[in-house]
Amino acid sequence: MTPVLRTDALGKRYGRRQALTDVTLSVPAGRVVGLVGPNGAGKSTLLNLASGMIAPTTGTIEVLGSRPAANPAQLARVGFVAQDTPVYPGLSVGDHLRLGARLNPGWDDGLAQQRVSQVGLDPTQKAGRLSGGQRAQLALTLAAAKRPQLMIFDEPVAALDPLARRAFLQSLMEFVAELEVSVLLSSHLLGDLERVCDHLIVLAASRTQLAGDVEDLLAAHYRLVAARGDLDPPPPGIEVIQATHTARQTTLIVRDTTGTLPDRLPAAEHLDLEEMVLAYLGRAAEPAGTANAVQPLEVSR
Amino acid sequence: MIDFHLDARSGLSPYLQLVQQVQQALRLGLLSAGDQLPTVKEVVARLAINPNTVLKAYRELEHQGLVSPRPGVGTFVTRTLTDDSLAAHESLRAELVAWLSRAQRAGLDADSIEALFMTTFRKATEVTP
Amino acid sequence: MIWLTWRQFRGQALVAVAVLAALATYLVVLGLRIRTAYEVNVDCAGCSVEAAKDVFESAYFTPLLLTGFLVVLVPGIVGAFWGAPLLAREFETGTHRLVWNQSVSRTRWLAVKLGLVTLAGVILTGALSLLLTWAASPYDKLFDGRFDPLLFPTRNIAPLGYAVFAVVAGVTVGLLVRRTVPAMAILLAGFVLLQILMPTLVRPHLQPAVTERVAWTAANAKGLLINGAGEVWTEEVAVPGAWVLTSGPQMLDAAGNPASQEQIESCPRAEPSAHMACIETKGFQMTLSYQPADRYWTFQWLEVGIYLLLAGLLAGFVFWRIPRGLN
Repeated sequence: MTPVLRTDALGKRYGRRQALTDVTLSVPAGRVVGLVGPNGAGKSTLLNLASGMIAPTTGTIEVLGSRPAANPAQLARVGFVAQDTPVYPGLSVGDHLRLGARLNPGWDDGLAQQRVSQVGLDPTQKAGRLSGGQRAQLALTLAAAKRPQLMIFDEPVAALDPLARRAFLQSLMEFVAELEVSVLLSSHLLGDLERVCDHLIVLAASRTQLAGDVEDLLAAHYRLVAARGDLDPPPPGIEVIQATHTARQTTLIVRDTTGTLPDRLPAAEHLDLEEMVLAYLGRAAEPAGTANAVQPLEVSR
Repeated sequence: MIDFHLDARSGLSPYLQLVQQVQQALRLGLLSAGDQLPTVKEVVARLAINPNTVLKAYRELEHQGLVSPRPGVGTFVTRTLTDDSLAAHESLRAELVAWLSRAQRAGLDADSIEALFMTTFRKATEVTP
Repeated sequence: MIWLTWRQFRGQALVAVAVLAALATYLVVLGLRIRTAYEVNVDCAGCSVEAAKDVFESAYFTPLLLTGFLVVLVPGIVGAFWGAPLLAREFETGTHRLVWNQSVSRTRWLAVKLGLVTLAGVILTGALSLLLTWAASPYDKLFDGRFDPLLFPTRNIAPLGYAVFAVVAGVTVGLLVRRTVPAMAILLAGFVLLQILMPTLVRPHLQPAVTERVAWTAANAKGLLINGAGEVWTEEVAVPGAWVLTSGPQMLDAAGNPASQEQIESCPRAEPSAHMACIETKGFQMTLSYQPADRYWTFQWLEVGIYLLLAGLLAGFVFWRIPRGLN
């Protein structure tokens, strides 16, 4: 099956600022992909490249097997909701649905009308007067009713209060259950995405730090706690992501590359998603030259 | 019908939480054979979780022989877990209450009691899985 | 796409229709009055053309000049209020990110928007220009001054070129600046500058001017000036229907040498017309540069062509730029 997103050595430069560096990814179809990283890590750049809003400086990107936004057929297959969910302030909710119906040959008007009434949007209301949560629901409806194969959301819940955030994710997951659509969404808060995504891409300092199915990632990462010096050098077949030392004790967050670590070290403990992601973000922030550029990931639930 | 909930602090993956909640409901007699589980869409709409998580939990329950899907209708409970153990619940609960009051008299606070119980529970279940 | 463009544009279109209706009514009334005045003052036995000119000048010079300014200004307003915000407002509010992700290519999106708004601008400007040309035609016939830099851009087809150019230029500025109000200001300033540069620096040279030595007559020169050095200059020169590029040439005597104060003063001081008649008999000459009257339509087409060419170049840039995304 064609990957929904495939990039090869993808890079994007704005003037002198390198927003994205050497990103090579392949995301299989049917996933809800969480793109996580601190602000300024390059998440929006990657999503804008995937939706064809901007063109890459180096490398290649393919979405559903084609160049993003190459033609109307490709546009029809991808639903993109940009950051801050832009809508036409002077047009009503109903006008936006008419816009969707006129500009998308595969428009599912039944779905759109049903969603709009289900989330309680008044079709005569001007979009400029909607709350952030209502705007997000309208943008989600517009993206879903064109019946795309992939929906892309850039920080969809960042500006929403917890209730609207929950409502948005509920609607989104309903669409996923109903429409068999792949989803790619970003957030600087892992907590927003933890429940909904089954594939994770961690981006920091313009590079991918980690990518894969959540289940596989969790299965391959462990915490090793031992007396200081016992893990020096670390056992073979593991990659140390993060090491912290106290006077007597060493804690390692490691990735098992062999699949045999629990047999060799029964004391190895599994991590939760947040600890794993934080370890990678911590590592990305370490090199002296880039330390200032990367803010720590905000963790909140 | 069972109402799922998720505890973000439990450390258990969402799919395992769903499996355990069904198992627990079966043990406590809240669900019995023939009952329908919520549809994937209903669970997703309520909890805002990935549909694949729900599907995976239902597949796991099916694998354990507890539920079976009827295409186009939903997922139904095929067997309960109440058998003999439910009868033993009452006397065990009474013993546990007695133990708890002994622990309180010995000066343990709630956190200490929970820590003592959990470490003993873990050790015991590790020895006899 | 046409629906969306119309939906976004209909408010402005209604304003335009209202303005056009008001101006059209005014121009029709003005045109009918001028026609009546023409019949009374010009198409009558024994009427004096000079007297009619005086009547027309005092009654209609100002209204026609002002409506003429309006016709030149309308393309600028259209460019600033319709052209400049067309893309700039989308970028400013981020809505391009919504519409670019519908199943319509950006090229088509741009083509429909630009096409419809340009068409609206041309219709509005064209209707005004046509009405003014009609209303003013008796006046223009009487004075034969339609080649004049003040009248030339307000009559016939030249305003159509301005309208197309102004809309496309507004869109281009909007694309480059991406902010509505600055884009409007830049467009207006640029358009006004171009409307000044065109008649002063470009239009006179579109075809080589005719330069010839003509007899100084009381009819083609309004008066003469004598400076401190004793040199004699013509005050103002007119050639019927032509665009005279030389303003106030030096007077030459019959032999072709600069005329002197003494030569002028050989005519006795008298009342002005007799004095001028005397001077006329002395055979003075002057060297004139002008674009003859029969080139009027050539110049109209050249003017339209130049503005359309500029608009085409800008449109080419916009159509090249938009599909590449905004980096």
